[in-house]
Amino acid sequence: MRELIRCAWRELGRRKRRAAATTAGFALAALILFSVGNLLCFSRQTMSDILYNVGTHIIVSVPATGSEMTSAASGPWPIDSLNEAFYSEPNVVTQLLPRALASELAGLPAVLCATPLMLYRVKDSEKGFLFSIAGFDPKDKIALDNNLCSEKDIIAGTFIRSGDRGVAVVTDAFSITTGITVGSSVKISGISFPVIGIIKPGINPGKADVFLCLDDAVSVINPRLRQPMGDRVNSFLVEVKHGRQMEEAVSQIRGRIPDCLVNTFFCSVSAIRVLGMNEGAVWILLAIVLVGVTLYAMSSQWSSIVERRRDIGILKAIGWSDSEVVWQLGLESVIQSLLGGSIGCGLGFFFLAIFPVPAWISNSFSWNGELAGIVFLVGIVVSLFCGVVAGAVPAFYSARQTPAESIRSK
Amino acid sequence: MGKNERTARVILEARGVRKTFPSRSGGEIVALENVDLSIPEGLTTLISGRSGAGKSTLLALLAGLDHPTSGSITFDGNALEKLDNSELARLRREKLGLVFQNFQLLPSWTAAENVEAVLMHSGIDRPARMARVEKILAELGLSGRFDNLPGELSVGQQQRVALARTLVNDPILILADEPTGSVDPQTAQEVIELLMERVRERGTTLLVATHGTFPETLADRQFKLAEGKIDSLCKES
Ligand SMILES: Nc1ncnc2c1ncn2[C@@H]1O[C@H](COP(=O)(O)OP(=O)(O)OP(=O)(O)O)[C@@H](O)[C@H]1O
Ligand SMILES: [Mg+2]
Repeated sequence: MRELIRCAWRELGRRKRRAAATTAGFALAALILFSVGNLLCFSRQTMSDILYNVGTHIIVSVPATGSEMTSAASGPWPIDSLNEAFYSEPNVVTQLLPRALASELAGLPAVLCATPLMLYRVKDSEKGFLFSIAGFDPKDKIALDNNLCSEKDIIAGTFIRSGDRGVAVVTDAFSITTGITVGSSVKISGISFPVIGIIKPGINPGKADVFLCLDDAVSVINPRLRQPMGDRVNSFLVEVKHGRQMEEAVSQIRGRIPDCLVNTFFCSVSAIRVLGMNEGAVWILLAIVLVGVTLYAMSSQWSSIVERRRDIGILKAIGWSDSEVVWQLGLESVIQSLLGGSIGCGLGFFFLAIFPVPAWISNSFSWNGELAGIVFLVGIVVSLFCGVVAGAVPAFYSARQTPAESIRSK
Repeated sequence: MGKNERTARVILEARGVRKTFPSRSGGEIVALENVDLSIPEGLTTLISGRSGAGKSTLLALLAGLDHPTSGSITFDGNALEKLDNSELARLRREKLGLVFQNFQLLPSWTAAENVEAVLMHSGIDRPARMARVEKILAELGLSGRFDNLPGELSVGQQQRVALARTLVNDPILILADEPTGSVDPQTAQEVIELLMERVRERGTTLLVATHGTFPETLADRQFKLAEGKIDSLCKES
C-alpha cells in the first residue's frame, strides 16, 4: 500500500499542472461545501430564533355549549344575551373558568408562563354599537407581550402599568371609529375610563377594542350579568417555552382542560416551510456543485488515463496486476480529493475566522467550534467520496484492456 | 556444445495457436494460423520472418499479453488460458523478461524508476529493490544515468535501460521482440553481447523474434514464420 501511495504521489508530481487543477477543483467544492454547511447551521439557528419569536403564543378558552347559552336564566350570563357575550375568537362564545387555572397552566412542563384574560363584548348603552373589552393583569408582561398587547404596541400615550386602576387603552381602529383619543374617555356601565394610550396591536391571538386591567373589567362586566362572575375569567394567555414544543404544550393543555379551544397563529408553520424551502434549494445547489466537481475530476482523470494508456499496458506487461493498476490510478484521484478537500475546508475555516459573517449578521450567533469541526470532516469525507467515484470509473475501464492492445496504442 | 545434446525440458509450448483480429471492413485478419512450437529450456531460439509475418503477435500471446483465438500455450507447466489476469501478471513478474520492439519505456519515469517498476509489487523492500536496480543499471554501463528520463538518453542507452528492466527480476525465459531493430549496428552488437552474456551466465531460455538484425549464429535453433505460419525449422543444432 505504501508503495502504491508513493507511486501515485510520484505520478501526480509528473503531471503537476493537471493535478493542481483537479486539486483546486476539489478545494473549491470543499470550500463551497464548508461555507454552505456553516451557513445552513447558521440558518437553522436563525430559524429556531424565529420559531421562538412567532410560534409560542396561545390563547386558551372553553366554548359554551348551546344549553348554557339558552338556559341563561341563572348563572353569570349577560342579561342582553343577544348582543353581549364572553368570547375568545370574535365568534366563539365561551364558558367561564376559575382564575386559578392560570397558575396550573403555567406549571405545565412545556409552558413558560400563563395569565388570565377576560374578553367580553358589550353594547354601547348610548349609541348602541358593539365593541369588545379585554381585562388583563399588566404584571404578567411576558404572557401578554405577543399574545395580546404590550408597551411596544403603543403609538400614542402610555400603556397600563401594574398597579394602574381606572384607566383604559384603546386600539387605533377603535380610536378612529369613535373619535376617542388620549385625553378623552370611554364610558362602560356608567363608569368613565380616561384613555391613557392608543395601541396598534397587530395580529395577536387575543383581540379587543378597549383594554382595562382585570379588576376594572370585572367591575364593569358584573352589572351586565344575571349573576356576578366571581373569581373567574373566560380565557388564558399562554406562552410556550419554545416553538419546537408547541405541539407538546397544546397536548398538555388539552390534558388539563379537556374541552378547551387552543388558538394560536400557526404562522410558525409556514415560516418553517419557507425556511425549509430555502434550505432545500441550498442542498440541491450543493449536490449540483458536487456532481460537477466529480465529473470534472473524472474527466481530468480520464484524459490522464487515456494519455497513459500505453504506460498502463507496459506496467501490466512487466507484471502489474489489474488491481494494482486500479489502485494506483484510483489513489491518484483519492490523493487529489483529500488534498483538495483539506485545502478547501482549511480555507473555509480561515475565512470564517477572519470574516465571521454570521456574527456580523446576527448578534445572537455564537461560534460553534464543534459544529464547524464536523462540517470540516464532512467536507473532506464528501470530497474523498467524489474522488473515489471520479477515480474508480476510469481506473476500471483502463484495467479491462489487454496489455497487448494498450501497448500497440500510441 | 554440451547443452544441446541433452533432451532439454520444454519450458514453453504452443499448440495449434490461431490468432485473428477483426478488420475494419468487418472480416478478419489472420495473424497466426495453427502455430505449434516447443521451446526447450536453456536454449536460444530464433524466430525470423518478414515484417507483418506475425512475430510480435506470437510473442504477445506467449507472454500472456493477449489471448489466442484458439489453441493453447503452456509456460513452465501452466496452461495460460486457465490463468486469470492477476495470475498471468504474477507469472510475468516472477519468471518472464520481455524486450519490446520499441523499448516501451515509460517516458515520464526515470531510468531507475522504469527498472524498479518490475519489482514494485514483488514484496521486496525499497532499499533492496533500489540496490538491485542500481546494480543492474551499473552492469549495463548506465551508472550516471539513474535519474534521467528516457527522452534524455541516447537510443542505445534507452535500449540498455529496457534490457535492464528485462533482466532485473532474473527471468527464466526472455522473450525479445526485435531487440536490436532500432539501433545502429555498433550499438546492436554491444546490446546483443550484454544480453547473451547474462543468458549464458544464468542458463536463461531466450526466444528472439527478428527480421534479420539478430545474428543467426548465436541461436541454437531457428524457425521461420511466414504469413502467420511456422514455415520450417531451419536450424536444429
Ligand atoms: N491489433 C491488431 N489489429 C489488427 N491487426 C493486427 C493487430 N495486431 C497485429 N495485426 C496484424 O497482424 C499481422 C502481424 O502483425 P505483427 O505485428 O505480429 O507483425 P510482425 O511480424 O511483428 O511485424 P514487424 O516485423 O514489422 O514487427 C499484421 O498483418 C498486422 O496488421
Ligand atoms: Mg513486430
